[in-house]
This record gives sequence, C-alpha cells and structure tokens, in this order.
Amino acid sequence: MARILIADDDSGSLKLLDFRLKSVGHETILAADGGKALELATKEDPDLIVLDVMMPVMDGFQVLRKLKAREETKNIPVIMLTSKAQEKDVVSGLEGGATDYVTKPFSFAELNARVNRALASRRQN
Amino acid sequence: MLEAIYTVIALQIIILVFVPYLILRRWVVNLIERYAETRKSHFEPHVLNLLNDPTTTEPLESNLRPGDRKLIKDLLLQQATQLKGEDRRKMTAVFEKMGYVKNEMAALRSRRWWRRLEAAINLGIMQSQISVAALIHAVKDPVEDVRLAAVRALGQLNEPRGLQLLLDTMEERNHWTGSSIIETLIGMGPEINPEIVPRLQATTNNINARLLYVQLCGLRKIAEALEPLLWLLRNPDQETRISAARALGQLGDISAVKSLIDSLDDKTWEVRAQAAKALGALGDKQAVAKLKGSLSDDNWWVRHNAAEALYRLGGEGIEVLRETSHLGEEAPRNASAQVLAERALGV
Amino acid sequence: MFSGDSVLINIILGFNLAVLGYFIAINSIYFGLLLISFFSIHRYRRRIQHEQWRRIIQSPLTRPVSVLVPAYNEELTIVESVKSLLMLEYPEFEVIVVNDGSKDRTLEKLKAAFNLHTIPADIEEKVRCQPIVGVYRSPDNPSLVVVDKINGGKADALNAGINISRYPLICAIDADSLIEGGALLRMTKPFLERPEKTAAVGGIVRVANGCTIEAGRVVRAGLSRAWLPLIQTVEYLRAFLFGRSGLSALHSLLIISGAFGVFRKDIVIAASGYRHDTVGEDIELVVRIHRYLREQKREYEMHFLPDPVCWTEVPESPKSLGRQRNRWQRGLIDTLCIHRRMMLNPRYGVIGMVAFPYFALFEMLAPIIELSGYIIVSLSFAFGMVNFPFFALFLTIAILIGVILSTGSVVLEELSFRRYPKTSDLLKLIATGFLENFGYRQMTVWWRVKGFWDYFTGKKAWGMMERKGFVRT
Repeated sequence: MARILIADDDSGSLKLLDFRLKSVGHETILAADGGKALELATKEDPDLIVLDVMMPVMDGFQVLRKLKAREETKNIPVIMLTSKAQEKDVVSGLEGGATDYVTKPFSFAELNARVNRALASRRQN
Repeated sequence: MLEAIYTVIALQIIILVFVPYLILRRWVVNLIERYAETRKSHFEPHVLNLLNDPTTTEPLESNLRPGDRKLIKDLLLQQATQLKGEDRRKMTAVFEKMGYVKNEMAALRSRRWWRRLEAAINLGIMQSQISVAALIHAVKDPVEDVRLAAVRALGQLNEPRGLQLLLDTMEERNHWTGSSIIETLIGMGPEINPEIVPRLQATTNNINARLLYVQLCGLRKIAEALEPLLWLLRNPDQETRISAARALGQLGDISAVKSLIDSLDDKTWEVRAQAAKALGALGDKQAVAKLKGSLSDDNWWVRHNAAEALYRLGGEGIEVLRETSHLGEEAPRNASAQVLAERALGV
Repeated sequence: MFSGDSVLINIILGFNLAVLGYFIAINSIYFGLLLISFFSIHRYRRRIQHEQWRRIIQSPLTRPVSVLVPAYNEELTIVESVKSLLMLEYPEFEVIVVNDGSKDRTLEKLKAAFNLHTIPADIEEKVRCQPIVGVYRSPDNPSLVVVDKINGGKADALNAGINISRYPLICAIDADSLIEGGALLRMTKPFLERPEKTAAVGGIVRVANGCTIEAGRVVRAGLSRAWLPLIQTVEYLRAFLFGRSGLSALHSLLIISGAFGVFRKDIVIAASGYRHDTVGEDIELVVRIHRYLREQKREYEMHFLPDPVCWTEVPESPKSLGRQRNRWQRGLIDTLCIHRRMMLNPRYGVIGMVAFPYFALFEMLAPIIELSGYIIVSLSFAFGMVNFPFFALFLTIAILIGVILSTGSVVLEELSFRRYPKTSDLLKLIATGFLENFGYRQMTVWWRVKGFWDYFTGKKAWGMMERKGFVRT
C-alpha cells in the first residue's frame, strides 16, 4: 500500500519490521544507520519513515532534525522507535517533529495502527 | 639450579606450542560461526512466519541437523525479545509447543551454574506459565546471579504465585539487592498493588524494606499508598522522608501538595529538594509562594529544584523566576536565571 | 661457589641472593595474578553472556551519569571526541567538557561545532576549583555542557566538572579517550546491581595505535607498525588487563585509570574531590576514597571490569614515553607517601595490609631493586664472585619468566576476548612478548628510576610548566 523506509541498526529488529510491514502489504526500504537513512529518505521519497533512535554514525534525533530541515523530506511523517522510554525523549521526539513514538519491545498491532494513522493523516494533507 | 632454568624454558616451550593450537582454534571457530550463520538464514524466514501463524513449526522441527535446535532457539529468543502483547504470546506458544520450555526447565537443574543462569534468563523471555514452579525453586539457587535471573523471570511472567516470594525476598535484604527485585516488580501488572500497600504499612521495624516499598509505590504510582506516604513524610528517619517526598511526586495526587509545602521547611536538605521537585510535578500553583522562598535556600539542590518546579508550574511561577533573576542576592538570582536560560534554549 | 671470606664479599653475595629472591617473588606474584585474572575474567564473561542490555537501558533504576572531559589545548581532536561521546549508548547522561583555560582554539571550535550559547549559572563549589568563567549549552545537543575556566590543571578541571554536574555518577575520562559505544552501560551495571556498596568501577584501557578509527570510534582493532606502540600493546595486556583483573579479584585495586573510571559523586565529594598538588591525581583519589570509606567503616566495593573498553593513543617516541612513565612513577610514590599511614595498618583492611605493601615493594621500589640487581649481579659475575649457573639462573628468573608472562598474557587475551581479528596480529603479539622483556622492560626500569630520583630531588610539586598542561593518564 505504501512505501516505508525503516531505519534500525539492530539487524534482527530490522528484519522483523521488514517482514511485518511487508506482510500487511507495504513496500519497504531498509537502512542500517542514520547516514544511510537520510540518504535513502531523500533519494526514494518514502511515504513514511520508521526511525530507530539509538543508531551509530547519526542517532535518530539528529536524523529527524535533518529530515525536518530539508524541503524534500520535511513533510514525510516519522515514527520514532526506541528502547529508551524516558518521558523527556518522547517529548523531544514529538517536539522535534516526529509524528509518533513507539517503544521497544513493540506490539505489532500497535505499531500498525500508528503507521496507518500517520499515513492517513498524510493523505489528508 | 639448572633444573629451575630448564623448568622455565620448558614452560616457555609449552606456551609456544599453544600458539598453533590457538590459530587452529580461531580457524575452527570461524568455520563454526559461518556455518551457524548459514543455517540461521535458512531458518529465519520460518521463524518470522510464526508471527503470521504460530502453528507452522514444522519446517523448524523436521530434517534437523545436530546443533540446529540450539540455533533455532536463539533465533526464537531474539525475536521474542523484540515483541510484546499478542505477538509475544504467540512466541510463548511456540516455545511450549516445540519443547524448549521443558528443555530450559531441565537445564535449571544443571550442575553448571552458567547453564542455570542461561536457563533462568531464557525462561524469562519465553514467559511460559509452565515454568513457574521451577523458577520459584531456582530463587533459592546457591549462585546469586541465578537467583537474580530467576526473580526477574518470575516478574516477566507476571505470576501472582511468585509475588509473595518476591516480596519476602526483597524484605530479607541480607544477600540481596532489593533494587533488582524492584525492577522486576515495576514491570508487573496492576493486580499486585493490593499486596504492596499493607506490606508497606507493616514495615515499622524494617527500615530498609520500608524504603524499598516506598520506592516501589512511587515508581508504580500506587494511588492507595497516598495516606501511608503522607504519614511517612513526617517520619523521624530522614531517609524515609526523602523517599516519601520523591514517591509523592511520582504518584501525582494533588492532595499531597499541602504536606509537601510544609516539607519545604524540613531540616534535611534532601527532603526539601525532593519536596520541591514533587511540587513541580504535581502542578498546583498554591506552591508558588513557598517555592519562591526556597530559591534562597542554602543548598544548591533545593534552589535548583525549586527553580525548575516554578518553571514547570508556569504562569506565576515563571513570573517569580523572572523577578528573582534580576534582583536580590546572588544564589537565587543565578538559580532562576539559569533555569530560565536553559528552558529558553530548549535544554 | 663462594670464594674468599671477607665481610664485604658476604654482603655482596647476600645481596645477589636477595635480588634473586626478589625477582622470584615478583614474578611469582605476577604469575599468580595472571592465573587469578584468567579465571575471574572467564567467570565474568559467563555472567554477562546472556545479559539483556535493553533491560538496563530501560530500567528506571539505572542511574544517570555525568561524563567529565577535562580539555587543555585539544583543538585538533576535541570536536570529534565530543561527538562520539554524545553517541554513547546510555539512557540518560551529560557530557561536561571542561576547557581548562586552553591557549589554543579549543573553546572556539566547540562553540562553532555545537552552536553553544552561554547561560548564567548558579555554581556551588562542592569541591575546590579555579574560578569558572562561563557555562555553555547547546540547543541541538541537550546533553552537552561546556565549562570554561581559569587554568588549574587536570585535577582542577575534573573538580569543576563535578561542581557543575547534576547526576549521581561521574565518569572521568581523558579528552582523547575513545570510549566504546556500549562501554558506559557495562561500567554502570555494578552500580545498578549493588547500589549501596559500589563506590567505583574501572574499565580496561587498550592501545589505539594501529586501530582503524572512524568518527571517533575504533572500528577494527589492529597493531601499530612502529615497534614502541606495538610493545606497549602487549604491556597493556599484561599489566592492565591481567594485572588489574587479578588485583581486583583480590579486592586490592588501588588504581583506576584516569582514562576511564566511574565513581559515585557523593563519595568523591565527601572525600574532597581531586587533589591538584599531586601528579597522580587519579591514583590518589582512589586511594583516598579507600581511606575515607574505611575510616567511616562503610562497606564498599570497587570493581575492575575487563569488558568496557577505552582506547587510547600511546606515546610513539621514547622521549614522550619516558616522560609518561616518569610521571606515573612520581604519581605512585606521591600517593603512597601522602597516605603512608595506611601502610600495614590493620584499620585499612586488605588495602592497608596487602595492596599497599604490594604496591610499595613491587611497583614503587621495583625499578630501583631491579636496576641495582642487574648491575650488581652482572658485576659479581664479571668479578667471579658468583658462578655461571647462578648468573644463568638470575637471567632466567629476571628476564625469561617475564617472557612467559608476556606471551602468556597474549594467549589469555586470545582465549578470552580475541579482539585482534587478524591472525598475523596474534603472531606479532606473541613475538612482541619476547621483545618486551629484552630491552623494553629494562628501558622502563630506567625511566622509573629517574622518576624516583626526580621525585626525591624536588620535582615533587607541580612546577609552573607542568601545571599549565596536563597529559594523558
């Protein structure tokens, strides 16, 4: 249904997200670090980005900031994904422009619902 | 004397002979790792597929080569740790169906402590109710790491039978670090709350246990603990007052505000500091006046927490900070100015 | 065997025997430590093999850490270092860079790279330090705090960092330490498991020369082409990895490297922070913490973990290496002298009764005894006062056993961590194990003897020159 960019340095997590999102019909693009994520986001223009926070080279928050600063990518909805469940990270993520925030371990039903919500609101705009 | 020299030389030769063994070992280990990777990628798609249909375990159970079962177990465990909710329960069913739970339960009786440790950790990931009794038994293991892992596993299973045991062990305190148990208890469901408050009230003689329960009530935000905590806020033991103030802030119940405002005069600075922080969290503006006074406290933490609390309260709180940052003595002025500047930058 | 019977000759012979005895003792102890540490490391690795690190990241009980980075004239590498520190995998931490009145553009570079804004700050001097001139924050990097202050030396900069920090644990590092991503998490595990008892944790320092480094991280461990750093790689394995693990297992850890250590801040403050009139501020603090906690009769633990790694560049020229070893020796002597009342004092438990004598005899006095040993035994042999078997035995014990220890350390490293992926590197390290003892070790003995001399002839206090700058630990 939609093209989703997934960025996560944990290969197990990446494969899992890839499988799950594909199984509900989405097309996926994969990135294993922040730099690659940014590059692919600009090149491939996905409909949604699922972004892990703790990544090498560039962490999720920095990628988010850069995405929001660029014209081509600032309107792509971003769902942040992380092990850190601290309130202030959620707040800074959302304030930084992320559309939503999901903690790991995640329940796919929940993630899926948020993905759909984010895609729906994008379509409306 | 010469014998000694020969011995030393012999030792050296032994070590050097070891070197080819080490190189061989590396080579073998690399081979094994590569082989394991190949097998794993063979099974990966089937492991993922279990999330769609947990009954499709057949490809993971037939035509297995030696060593495969362990690799598959690792894959399954790795996947399970990424999941929660419905998906996690699916994984639990798979672990049970494929006999892995039984395996780990047997391993809990292994003579090697590291195998027992691994078993306890794995059972915590597998989260199968079948393993409860075995885990409860493992809580008495002679090795501390195994005991801790068993405790954690019971917590992850969310098993009420384990609860009494956990709470009793936490109170013991002689060999245990209560904090590890607290961590486990934090993750458990709301049904355990009715157990905790009465235990808190029963800790009149056991200060260490009391501190752990207070901490637990705060972290779990147990509403029923409000009254006992308010009472403990006036306890003669300073550690108790400190924890109670902290917990009341985490609880989020506004009825604690009046008592916390009084605590801003406590003779122990940590209590004053925690009370200030709590008042910021509770959000009741009647605290503003007293917090303004705390900006002039002798202690840095009290000043700092008071300034942060005032900012959090917003409106008049921020007004107070603005005023104080321009006039008066150095300490309150700097404290207010610092918090205002930091918030303005967004840090 | 013995000829003549004059008193002088007997004394000299006695000395020869004593020196032989000393070498036997010191090498046996090292051997014992090596074995102990091997088992200790083995056990440790078993314990953490299945550790769920995410649990620790998510736990509300994991204490936040203030990473203190004292910086003096670091304009070349500071931005890179700070960037890599900000990416440490840890739930809540702050990186406090203390610019100790640098003469170069350290502060300017930081300001530019991180968009620093100055903020007014309420500063309380919990431990003594030189006046702080400015405090900066970065809106893009909320975890970064930069402190500008008047020059006061490394200990002073650390103290300033302590004064500014707002978290209960402090992690003291060198500005050019390359800390591995997951290292901080591993270092704080003991604080999480035993919060009341754990006072300090030290990590392992490994040699970065020759490693592939990208963006402030060591991507692939390798060996330097130059022989001096190569030998130090083996030396660090022997002395720091296995020596310290062994001592830690015996609860006799006196040294936590200033390049990488985590402390409970309240304990450091209670012990009055770092002392700026000593050249070995890292050792001195640890010893003082031991002293303070024991005098307070508090139960405590200090751990050395072999797992969390800090990579550091080691000196490549003999001159700078010599200066470093000279300084280490002076620092050790200074610390042992300052706290001499702990020596063999049962009040200070195993630290006073075991660790202190060990360090005094086998680390502090070692270079003197070794040097005089080489000279006197060789002369004794040359003048025919001792025969060949004795001389050969002496050489064996003094040097050959050292080879066993060095090569043994490499073997143990291979059995436990296997950080060097290239097999040729492993072979190089084994070969270097030999080299280390045929010349290098003797060189370090010489430098340490100089350090001894310098200490007692007045280079005790920080000279004006040395006070301005501080060098790698």
